[in-house]
Amino acid sequence: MSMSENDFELLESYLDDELTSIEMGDLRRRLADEPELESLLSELRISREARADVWTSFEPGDKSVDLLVRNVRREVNRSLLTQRYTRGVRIFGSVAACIAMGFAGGYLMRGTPAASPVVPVADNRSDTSLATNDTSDQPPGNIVWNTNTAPSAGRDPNGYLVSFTDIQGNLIGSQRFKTLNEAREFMRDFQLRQQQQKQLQNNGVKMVADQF
Amino acid sequence: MSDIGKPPNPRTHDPTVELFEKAVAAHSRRLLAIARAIVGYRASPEDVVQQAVMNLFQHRARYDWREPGGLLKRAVVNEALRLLRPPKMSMVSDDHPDEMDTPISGMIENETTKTVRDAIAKLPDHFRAALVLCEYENLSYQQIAESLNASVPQVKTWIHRARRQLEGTLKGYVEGRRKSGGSA
Repeated sequence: MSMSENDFELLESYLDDELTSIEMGDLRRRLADEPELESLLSELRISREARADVWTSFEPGDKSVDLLVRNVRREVNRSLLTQRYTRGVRIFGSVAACIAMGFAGGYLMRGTPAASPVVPVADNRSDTSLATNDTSDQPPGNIVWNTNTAPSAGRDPNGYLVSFTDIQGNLIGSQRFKTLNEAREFMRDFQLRQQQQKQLQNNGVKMVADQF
Repeated sequence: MSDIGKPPNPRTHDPTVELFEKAVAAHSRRLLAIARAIVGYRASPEDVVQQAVMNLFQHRARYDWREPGGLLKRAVVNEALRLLRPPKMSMVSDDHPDEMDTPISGMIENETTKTVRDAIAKLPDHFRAALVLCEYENLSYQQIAESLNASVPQVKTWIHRARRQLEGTLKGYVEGRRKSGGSA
């Protein structure tokens, strides 16, 4: 009587200690009654023993084991050093990135200069006595200079105040003169400078230094 | 000598490093045997084990290193099977240094053992891995299934088929043993 595949599997499971107690009891009864099954079991046992010798032959000697342990230890050391180095580089990179972002943010959010070197425009809104006759050819600019006769010369010992304001009317500077003539002379000089700068700008030349 | 100024030892900051190294030292012999049984001479078992354990080391914080046996075996089996996936590794030379370093070195290898080794090497990779874990490591079908990411019935089938394929190789040996009354 030939054994079925199920019998093989059953006996293998028995040898692998994978049967439940009920299955084990059934198998023992069958083994007692069926000598062929008993014979097959002993064959499987012998095969298993032969294979056990093979598995043992795969085991390495002490030399190989020591070599492996040494190699793993060396790799562990290398890995730990690499991790430390990588962590350092990461921290340094983070700090550098923060600094760079700070600079970039500052650059992007920078405002326009408070006082632009654009040619000022004469604007005598409050004091006609200081107004120039010709303002039509004044170049447009951010800065308007405004002359005010603060207190009149006769009543104010501080003299005449010439103030510079930008287009929005914000005060950006002032100059006080003792006499009205000095104030006018200053304004004339300024107008002369305006004209010079306008000429230079129109010719595409940048003025480095100049004198009134 | 003072330790001031010396860089801190990274091992002292990570207790798992010591546990890991102890685990490798304790299990390396069996891990090498498993690797050898699975990859045969198609790859170096030392490389397989080293790669497997270093993969674990990279993620050592995830694992419990107090009971590392199953973890290490699983890693080695999977690494061995990964290496055997196509394209196949080229054969390593027959005069592999480890060959003469086995416990049977100096003896003429039993003919049956050699024949069975060759027959085992011809088994499909998963059959071989399941059989090694079952018969060499004495793992249960459930544990083997977990190691190989398979179901228990699948593992049973693999082991059964592997044994049936080896049966022919061992037929003469078994009959000889039975005649000589060698069976238990």
